[in-house]
Amino acid sequence: MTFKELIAVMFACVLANNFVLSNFMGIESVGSDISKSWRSMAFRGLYVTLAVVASCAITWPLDAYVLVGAAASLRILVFAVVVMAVSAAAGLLFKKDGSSFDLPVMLNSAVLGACLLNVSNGYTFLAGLFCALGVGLGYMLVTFIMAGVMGRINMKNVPKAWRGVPITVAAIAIVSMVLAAF
Amino acid sequence: MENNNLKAFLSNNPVMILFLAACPALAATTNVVAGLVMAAAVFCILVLSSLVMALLGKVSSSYVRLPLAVVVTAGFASMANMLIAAFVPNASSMLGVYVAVCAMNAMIVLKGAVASDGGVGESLKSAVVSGLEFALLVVVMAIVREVLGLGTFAGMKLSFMSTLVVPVLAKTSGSFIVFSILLAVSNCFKKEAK
Repeated sequence: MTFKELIAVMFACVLANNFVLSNFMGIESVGSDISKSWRSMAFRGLYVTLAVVASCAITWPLDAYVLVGAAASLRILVFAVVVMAVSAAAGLLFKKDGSSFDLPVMLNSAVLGACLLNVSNGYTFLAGLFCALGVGLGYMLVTFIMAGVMGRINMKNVPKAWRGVPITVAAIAIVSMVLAAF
Repeated sequence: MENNNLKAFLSNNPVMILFLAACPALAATTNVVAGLVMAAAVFCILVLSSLVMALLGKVSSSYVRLPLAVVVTAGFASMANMLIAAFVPNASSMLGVYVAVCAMNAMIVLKGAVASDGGVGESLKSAVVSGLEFALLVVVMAIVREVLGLGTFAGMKLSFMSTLVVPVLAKTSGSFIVFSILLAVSNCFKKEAK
């Protein structure tokens, strides 16, 4: 693939085929806590981007050269262990800056989903990395958009049954309609 | 995170438990058959991983409970993926990687991690209740989305729905709309129960 095609794949993962809004992966970590500061949101997005790129960089060669033949049935288990280890290591890296992440952010299905989809779609190593970068940047974009949207919602005006998670998901529905236009 | 904090996180907002399982719930509900298979898969993975974690609880330290919960859940997710591919290939092609992604599903893993602290009976009861709530949510979502969004039921065309179809419900934004309505309804019932 040429460099232009790789960039196109990356932007497709950010906008048109956003992992969070089109594939639903990572939605629970986006919606679990949106009330934090912009700095915290940026760190969270960087953490997920680092985790997904590092996980894809490790799992692609593992699948290509180690998990062959009968060992292919261990793919999900091995990938989950790799993703967990990478997420924990990335969390330690960010802990030095004083950031801490909730469990739904660390148990992010987008990371494992990106690794599995890279393999099942037959991407090359480089295309998989660019796709992973797009997944992370797309996650960051959705986090920032949702922080802005939820910041404008006054919970006192929201009916009691809709307060909290339901209104968050309704806001995500409207944002997904906007991004679907791409 | 300490197990007491985990328990508080899971019990303070019951609707949040359903939201933590949003990924499989949203992805599998374009078709009733796929929804039923996903509901069964998540129920089995949740109950079995909670059972194993409850049995391992006495021998595992608090530092390894979360990683152990991920490994146990991933094992059962692998088994579920292989069984669905073998016995229900149509549903397997509709579900894609979403059964495999349950290996890192926050609801299942956190329930497993908390299960290691309580007794086997208590953990199983909690897992069965959560699993049934999730299954009900997924099945209702699948029926609403397929009937109102596509005008079919389990792939069979419904003639009376031909002019009443709401196409947006079959798309990704429709899944969020239906999910938010069902979460609000769930919120109502849980508030009334309190």
